[in-house]
Amino acid sequence: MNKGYWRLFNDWRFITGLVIISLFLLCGIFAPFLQPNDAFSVDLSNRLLSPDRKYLMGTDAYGRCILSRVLLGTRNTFLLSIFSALITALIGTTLGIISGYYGNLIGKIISTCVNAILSFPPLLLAFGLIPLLKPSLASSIIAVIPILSAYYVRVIQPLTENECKSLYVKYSQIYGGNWLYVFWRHISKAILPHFIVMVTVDAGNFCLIISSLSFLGLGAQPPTPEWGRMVLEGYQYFHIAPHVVIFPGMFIFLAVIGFNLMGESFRDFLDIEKARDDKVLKGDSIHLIEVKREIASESLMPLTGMLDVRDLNVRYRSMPEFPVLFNINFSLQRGKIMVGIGPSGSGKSTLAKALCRLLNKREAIWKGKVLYNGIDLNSLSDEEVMLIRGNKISIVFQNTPSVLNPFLKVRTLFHHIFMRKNQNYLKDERLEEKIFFYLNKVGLSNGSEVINKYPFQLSYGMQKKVALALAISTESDLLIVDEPTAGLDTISKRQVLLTLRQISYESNKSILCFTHDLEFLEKVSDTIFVILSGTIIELAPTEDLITTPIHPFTKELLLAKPKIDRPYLNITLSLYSTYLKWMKGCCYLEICKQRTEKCKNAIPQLEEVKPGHWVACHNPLV
Amino acid sequence: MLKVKGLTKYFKIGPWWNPKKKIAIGIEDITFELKKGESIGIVGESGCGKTTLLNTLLLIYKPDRGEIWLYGRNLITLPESEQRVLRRGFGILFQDPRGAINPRWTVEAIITEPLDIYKTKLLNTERMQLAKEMMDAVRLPYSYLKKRPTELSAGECQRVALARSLILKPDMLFLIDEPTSNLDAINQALIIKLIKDIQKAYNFSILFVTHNIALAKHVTDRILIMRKGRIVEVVESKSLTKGYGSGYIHELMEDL
Repeated sequence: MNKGYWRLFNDWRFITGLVIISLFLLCGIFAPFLQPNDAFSVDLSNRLLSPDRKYLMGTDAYGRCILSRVLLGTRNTFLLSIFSALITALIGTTLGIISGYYGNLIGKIISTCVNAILSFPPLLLAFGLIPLLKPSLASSIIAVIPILSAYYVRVIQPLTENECKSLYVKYSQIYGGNWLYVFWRHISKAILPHFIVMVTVDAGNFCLIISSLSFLGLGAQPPTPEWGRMVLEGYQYFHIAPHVVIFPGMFIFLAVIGFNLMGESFRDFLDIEKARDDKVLKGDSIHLIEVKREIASESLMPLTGMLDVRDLNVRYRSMPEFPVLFNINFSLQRGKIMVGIGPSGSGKSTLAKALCRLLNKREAIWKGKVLYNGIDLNSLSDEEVMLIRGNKISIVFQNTPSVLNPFLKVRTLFHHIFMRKNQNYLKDERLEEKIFFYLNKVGLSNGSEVINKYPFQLSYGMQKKVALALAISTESDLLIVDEPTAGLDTISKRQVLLTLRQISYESNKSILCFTHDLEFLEKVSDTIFVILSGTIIELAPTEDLITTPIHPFTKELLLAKPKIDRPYLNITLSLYSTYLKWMKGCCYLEICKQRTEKCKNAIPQLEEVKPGHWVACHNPLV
Repeated sequence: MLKVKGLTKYFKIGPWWNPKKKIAIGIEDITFELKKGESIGIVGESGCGKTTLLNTLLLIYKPDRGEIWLYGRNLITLPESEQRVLRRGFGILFQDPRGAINPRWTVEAIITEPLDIYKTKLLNTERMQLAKEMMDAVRLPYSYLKKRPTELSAGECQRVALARSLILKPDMLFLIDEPTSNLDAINQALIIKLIKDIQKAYNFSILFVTHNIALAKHVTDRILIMRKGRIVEVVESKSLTKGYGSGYIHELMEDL
């Protein structure tokens, strides 16, 4: 947890909140010594005095000193609310952990009770409960605690459950870590941030609840000094002596503001921490940034295809020095399949998104041209791109289970796509046949079984195929597929890839496919390009590239594929870290065996070495 | 050393109120033997029961039938406490490198976790020494001990997980569940090379689960081909060549 909590002190909200709360704490603890007059002594001759020297905040309807009463009230409202917030948190968290850890009957009973409680407005429920006891400060707290702890259970339970499902907890359990160990080492760390935020915000809530219940006459009874009760007592004199109401009201306001400021700053702080982690996850290699590369000139490749990419550059705003994609150039002809291979983190997914303009403008900056049949997608407005994306260009994402909506049956997923084409799609009598047709195309011949299922009822391979069928059903001419084979076994892999091949033959579609998997490459693709550190380093027809790779990295990559009839671990793998390294020169410089001085200083450009075979290397292996 | 006899696990599918639940075969009649220093590959398509077999060996699932003999003792009949002691000899490597290590811990905490679980009484310097030894073994620089998993690449995460399993020096058995299917070809080769090197150094046995038969051939001595929860064929890795066998095994081998 030592993630630099000191950085909280850079936030004015945290400091303000902290100051307010510590002042109140001190007031509450030392109230008996601080009070200038006795808080309980009734003096009817001094009723409703305005603030003066002796009574700094004036007196109330019974002539009691308001300052003393407010200070003493700090104990009843402020300290009590902190105390009850902690108790609530402890009860709620314990129940949440129990129901999350034991997902069986106990867990179900707890979560049913919680659901029942949460279905009432919290204050209304408290109103119903308090009269059952005797109206007093204690009974109002006792009534509110179980209601608010339900919210903790709601938050803590899924966190615990997720943590328990994770592989690292499973690992600890296999090795004999008992529940105490799992709680202490894993779960506590996952819930602590949420716990802190909720307790802080809830302490503020309790301040409000205690004082509003007292204001309604359900909480503190006279003569107990309590802020809400004081407001109630002074309420009828508001027009002649407003200070009787204003001072206790101000204290309530300040206390709640203090808690909320602190809670808010905690929450933002933890969000930032999370966002920072996510960013690191996105680019595996930020720590390797070295020198900025300059943008090169127009490419020499002729414009031929239905998709031409020219000098595409993408940077993320979070790391503007570091181009994620650098001068990407390629052309894809109609009816052909092109495969982009490269190690993970080389920018394949970013390229797939950039081609459909799916990158978020707030996250990424891009330059260059993406020409679809001669139209530059990057020059169109968002609305115009919407017309092309999904109709003319469709994309299948990497993580299929999270793409298919789990609440919709496969049939409905198809309907949503048909709806785009034709509002009256439901009148089409051959609707079902149409769905079967597309499912058949991807090799799902038992269409009638599949369409009535929800995505999660299908196996992973089938989900992949359904996603593919959905993409085909848009009748687009260009299909972009990101990692079609990730997580599939050898047999399903071949099925999916052969499906791709067949689709492109039958309907003359172009397919662009990104993968780190080298199996079945030669069976599927017409052209292959190799991408490394966001640059294309080699682009060639499949035959050429597999038999005679020219770039040294391509050679090593192809050798790293395990084959039955080839000794496997004889390749010279010289390093253990990632390849992504940004320098003035070639991105493969450090590992390359044939590097020269030139490689250190000049970025190699994609050049045509043989007809159709493009390589970015200063010393190609020809 | 490890002997598995007739190991069977069924799953009951259906809502809890339905007394006539469907029974699905997880694994059925799995029998094999593993000697010290030997490695066995388990190959099959997804859903053939590879992972179920692994989970049953670790006693995450309670088997319905069968025996697991480890060093002459039947694991299934032993009480929980003794099972725990024996399980200490297992090393485990999971498929998902990021999911297998807690993203909130430092690499050092992750690697030394097994020491904490077994309450080994070690001085801090000794722990550090051991952690460094492990970092050497998996060939990561010492500076990584202070990093968090979110700062590492997937291949590096897998190395950290490997180091964690090695720290207890499992002298019996290393269970490996598709360690490389989320990695690219080069990272895969690096991890496999590492595993082979470490196996030579520590002389442990490997149970290697994968769907890539070519990979299994290069890592293991024997390959068990599984289909629908049963072992359908046992192949010596050396005799496995391009034209070997027919039917299912041929289908698995295509393009490899």
